[in-house]
Amino acid sequence: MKFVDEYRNSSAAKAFAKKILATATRRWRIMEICGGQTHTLIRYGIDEILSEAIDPIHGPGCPVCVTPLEKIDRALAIASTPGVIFTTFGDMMRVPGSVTDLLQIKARGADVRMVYSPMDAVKLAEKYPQKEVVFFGVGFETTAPANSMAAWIAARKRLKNFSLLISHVCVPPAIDALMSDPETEVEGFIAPGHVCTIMGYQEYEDLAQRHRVPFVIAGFEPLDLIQGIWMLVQLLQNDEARVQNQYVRSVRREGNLEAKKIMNEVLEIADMNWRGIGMIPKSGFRLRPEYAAYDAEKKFLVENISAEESSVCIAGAVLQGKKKPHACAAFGRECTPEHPLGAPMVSSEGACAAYYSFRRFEEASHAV
Amino acid sequence: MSVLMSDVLFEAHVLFVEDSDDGKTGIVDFQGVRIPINLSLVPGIRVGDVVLIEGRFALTRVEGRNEIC
Repeated sequence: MKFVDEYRNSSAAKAFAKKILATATRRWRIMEICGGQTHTLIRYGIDEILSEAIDPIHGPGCPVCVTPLEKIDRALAIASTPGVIFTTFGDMMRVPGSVTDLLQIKARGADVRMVYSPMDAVKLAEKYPQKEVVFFGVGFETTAPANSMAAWIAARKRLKNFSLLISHVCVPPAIDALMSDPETEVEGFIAPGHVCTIMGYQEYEDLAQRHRVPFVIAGFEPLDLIQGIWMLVQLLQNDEARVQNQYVRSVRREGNLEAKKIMNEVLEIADMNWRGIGMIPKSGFRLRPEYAAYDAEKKFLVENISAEESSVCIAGAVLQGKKKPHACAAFGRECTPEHPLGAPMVSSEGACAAYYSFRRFEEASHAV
Repeated sequence: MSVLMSDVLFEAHVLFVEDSDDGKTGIVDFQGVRIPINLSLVPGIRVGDVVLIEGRFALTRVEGRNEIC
């Protein structure tokens, strides 16, 4: 497959692995931020091949996983409202709220629809003016521009029956919080290439300087990732706290200026509650007051809905890189992709789901 | 590949570009499948360009290939 096979070349991967193992003088503790990178790392066994050179710590970069429980409950409350067409991407459908999930309420008659794009929701609003159409969009800086554009286009079309329920988080403040934790063991970062496609990597240069830690912006295919690890190991070996860009085919230092412009028009920075981690100041986006008419939380008066997490699930520790998924007593028993307790088991980008798919027969004693 | 996920991105060739009510839109080819997308976030896209897509929006033009390939 073009654009895929070329970044899954096993000979090139083996050559990088050989160089990494020959170069590393110790086992470096590195964090891959993004859930897509975690998935690639586990699926292709890159962490096992490089186990003498790196100790990967899985980061909080699965957008579904860090969406707060109360936001899911708010989605469920809105979707259950008569006259609402509630739209979202497929992976949000099974994320458990406090009591139920979107698929279950759809089965009970709610008009919940899977869509491919926030623009599909805008088109539904045009087609059904007598209905309220809501798009539930979550994610990092990568998904924010498309959702911003949907709100911007809806405003230009003067649609009164369209609104957004969003939960957008930003990566750099989370890294800052993580590196400010005296218990952190992270020595270097594989930064998320797709986020940097939008935002660029100037913020990471500041983080590298302040926390004396190297970053490599990497893509998501196995060869992208292993080359990124090779670049990071070299920075660590040379004690260089700076940023390098492996994902040069998509990432520029300044990012996508047009996307940042539309985000800035529609969204503003806000404090954000990360599921399993807690509140991180200035780590998310909310709709600007000028777009309040498109804010589903305000329109449906669900802002006061709050929720409490399961006491069994250790998703918080997994999302902070403090525990590996199969260190959880519920992993693979009470908690499976079919019956998830926590969001990292729901999303295929979640660390728990990746371990369940590719590592569930390993002894839990191997986990840290 | 599931394109029904919140955070799945893929690279594809642009086959068609036009102006519409929804801004600049187009069609891309991904592994033989033709997919309608919105190109408004990446000015200057032309037929033949390769773009990175998420949520049926192009996020950037993919320029060149990494030397590793």
